[in-house]
Amino acid sequence: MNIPHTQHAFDIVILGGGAAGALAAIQAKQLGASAAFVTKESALVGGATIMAGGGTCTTMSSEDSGETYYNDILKSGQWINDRRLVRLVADNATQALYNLENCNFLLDRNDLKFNGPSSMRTFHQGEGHSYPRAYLDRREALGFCHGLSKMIMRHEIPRFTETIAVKLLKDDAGKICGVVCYSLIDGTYLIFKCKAVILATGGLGALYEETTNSNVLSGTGYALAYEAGTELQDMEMVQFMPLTLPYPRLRRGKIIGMCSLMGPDVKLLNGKGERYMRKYDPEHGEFATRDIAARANYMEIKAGRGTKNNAIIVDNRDFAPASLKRWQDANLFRWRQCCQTYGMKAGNWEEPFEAIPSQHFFMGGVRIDGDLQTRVPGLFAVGEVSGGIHGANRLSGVAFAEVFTLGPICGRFAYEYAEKMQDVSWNEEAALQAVEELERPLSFHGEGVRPYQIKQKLQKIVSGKLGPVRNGAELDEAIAALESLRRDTLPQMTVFDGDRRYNRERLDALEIPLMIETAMMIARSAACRTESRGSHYREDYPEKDPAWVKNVVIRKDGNGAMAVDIAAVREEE
Amino acid sequence: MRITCEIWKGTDEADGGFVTYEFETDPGNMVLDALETIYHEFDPTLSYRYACGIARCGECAMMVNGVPYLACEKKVEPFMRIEPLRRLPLIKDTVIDRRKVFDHIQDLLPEARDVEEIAQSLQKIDEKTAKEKIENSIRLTNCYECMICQAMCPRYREDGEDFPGPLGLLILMQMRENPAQRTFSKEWETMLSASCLSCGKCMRYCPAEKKPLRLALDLLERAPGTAVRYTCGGYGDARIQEVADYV
Repeated sequence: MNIPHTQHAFDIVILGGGAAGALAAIQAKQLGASAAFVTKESALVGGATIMAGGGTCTTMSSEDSGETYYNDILKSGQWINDRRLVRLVADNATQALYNLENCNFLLDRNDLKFNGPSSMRTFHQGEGHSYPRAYLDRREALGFCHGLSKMIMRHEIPRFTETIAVKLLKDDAGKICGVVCYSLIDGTYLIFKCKAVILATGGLGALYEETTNSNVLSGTGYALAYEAGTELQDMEMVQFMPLTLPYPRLRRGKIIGMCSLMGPDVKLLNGKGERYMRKYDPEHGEFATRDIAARANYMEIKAGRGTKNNAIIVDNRDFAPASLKRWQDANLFRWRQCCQTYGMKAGNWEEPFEAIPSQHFFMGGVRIDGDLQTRVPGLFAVGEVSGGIHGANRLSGVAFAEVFTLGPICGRFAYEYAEKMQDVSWNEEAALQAVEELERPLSFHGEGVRPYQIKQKLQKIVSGKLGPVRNGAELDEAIAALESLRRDTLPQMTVFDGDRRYNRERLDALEIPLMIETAMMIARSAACRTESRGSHYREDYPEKDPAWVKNVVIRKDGNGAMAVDIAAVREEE
Repeated sequence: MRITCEIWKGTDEADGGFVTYEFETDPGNMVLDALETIYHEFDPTLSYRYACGIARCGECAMMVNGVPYLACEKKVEPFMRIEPLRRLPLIKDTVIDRRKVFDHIQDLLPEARDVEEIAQSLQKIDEKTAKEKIENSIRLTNCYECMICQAMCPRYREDGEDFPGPLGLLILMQMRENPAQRTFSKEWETMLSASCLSCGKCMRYCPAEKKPLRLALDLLERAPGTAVRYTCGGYGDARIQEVADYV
């Protein structure tokens, strides 16, 4: 074969450079496995982690307990969460946060002698939490990211940066035996032979026009898992952040923060100057959970009641001075960004400012068991790419609690699995054939559609029809449009340049078929759930249906078609 | 606004050169917006790197008219000469190879400690020192790892063998100020500080809000037995010129 490629062998390959992947890699390596750390970014640990506000919800408060935390997560997730995973997170989150202090950085503390809420500099009660739970960090997530990246280096884990996974390889018995990756840097393929793969590829922000994620989260991990034959669940559950920046272009969709962080006096107004949140959540008003708040903002704008920039207005002019101080202190980055975007006056709340809702998180994903393994032996999933923990809506600060807790656990389970495996039955022929198939569409340099244009078309479909408010007719249109994109547009895809070095078009071209697959799963799943629950809202079925305390499960059937089933919610054993 | 961009394309003198693009853009746009426009509308072969777009990941650092910036934070100008960061190996166009830097830093890192050991050592620290260490530690870790400091350091060489650059120095101080770490070997500290020319160039161009390198240099100067004679904010153009001549 004359396509440039290299071959590697490891016990475990970790795909994904966020906190989940890093922690899994560190744990697996500490236990003695040979592990490879494959990340799409150049920064060792980045992904969605580096974009996050840094809030981590734990049960440090003395009145709090794992049980109330567990119940809060279930209540917010509207009871379709995987109980076993929620229990793991709720019981172990606090220790998982303290354990990070072994990663070359200190938590943002008041003192070093004690542990507990009073020793943390900021401890915050977010929307939907019964007690103050969120540890906040003045560095936001930079401390976590760089601390973890030093741990990756310290353990001398081989790093493959700016490399994406493009195909999972299975042996004849259906077990994972390797993975094909592609390096953006030199445009070569990397063929890994391995006993286990940890999928930690994160969410799917790049499918939406407005997202709080960085541009690397393209949602390909879901499609990789689907193609490998595993099940995915609740793919209709996309979380939107209620308040994000509407402009400038580069910052459109980046997080401002939740209302609770801005103090008790904050008001959300529509373009006419009316307060509307009580209409959507009579009990909590502005302090509704993300699913309700984002939908409210979206519906006000969609109904033509937005500002002329198609946004809503955040008015916090009645703020108490202590609230502003707390906001500046705990959210330095966000405050600075608001000042740059809206000017100093609005940044300091003396004037109202505009905001829009944007895609933020994905609750659905790869269906995993109590040992974080999928239906495909040897394929593990952790972090945003996995589904089931957050149900229909994620509470603020639980994503970090999830990855800090389950990351190391996943590393341990993958190690135990790999330890038991003697050797994989390796078929080099099949791996090389996979590379050839992947390369084929990239060698077309003629007249056609450029990858970024297909990406923009895809984003338009997904943002337009799979947003916070959906209906049956639009979902059918989305399915038809995605099908046509795959059938008619994809074969016309052309890569302008044959140069392999840092060729962004080649990378996009490899990802786009997977991105379309993922979008299709969202659409099919959303069409299946004929009710409204959490983040999934159907105009044609606006009520919650008690019969729908179920998971929507997607898999590839024997004929290669997408099968959508309904399954019972998984209880604790 | 009509702008002219001269962008370095290629890897080395043999296959590279500046290519000029002229187009209309919104005056509020950033350099990264301009690069995206070029990639979409004029030149599909343009390579540039970014991830977050909000000055967090530090991956889009490049030279604009001779000064290093994060492309997502620098507003467009009527004329821009855009080059990759200096002193780091080039992959293509504006994209530098950051992997080597991490390899050098890897050699500096001390061994991990277990959680029990950390907890014990934390108990021994008095309140005042603890407060100071925490504040220092937070500020020092507020770094984007954008490599601008490495690129601007006249002492740093691509091979990085004898001196891991300002980022190495910063990480040294991160370790030292974190009471939960095994301290750095003294030899490293002496060696690093002896290599530093105290010119302050690294800190001058640092895009991070809290200027972590400034604190690192201050701390290093105060450390007994170090050769760093960088006086708080006292770097001047004359000193930088002197260093430039040295190089």
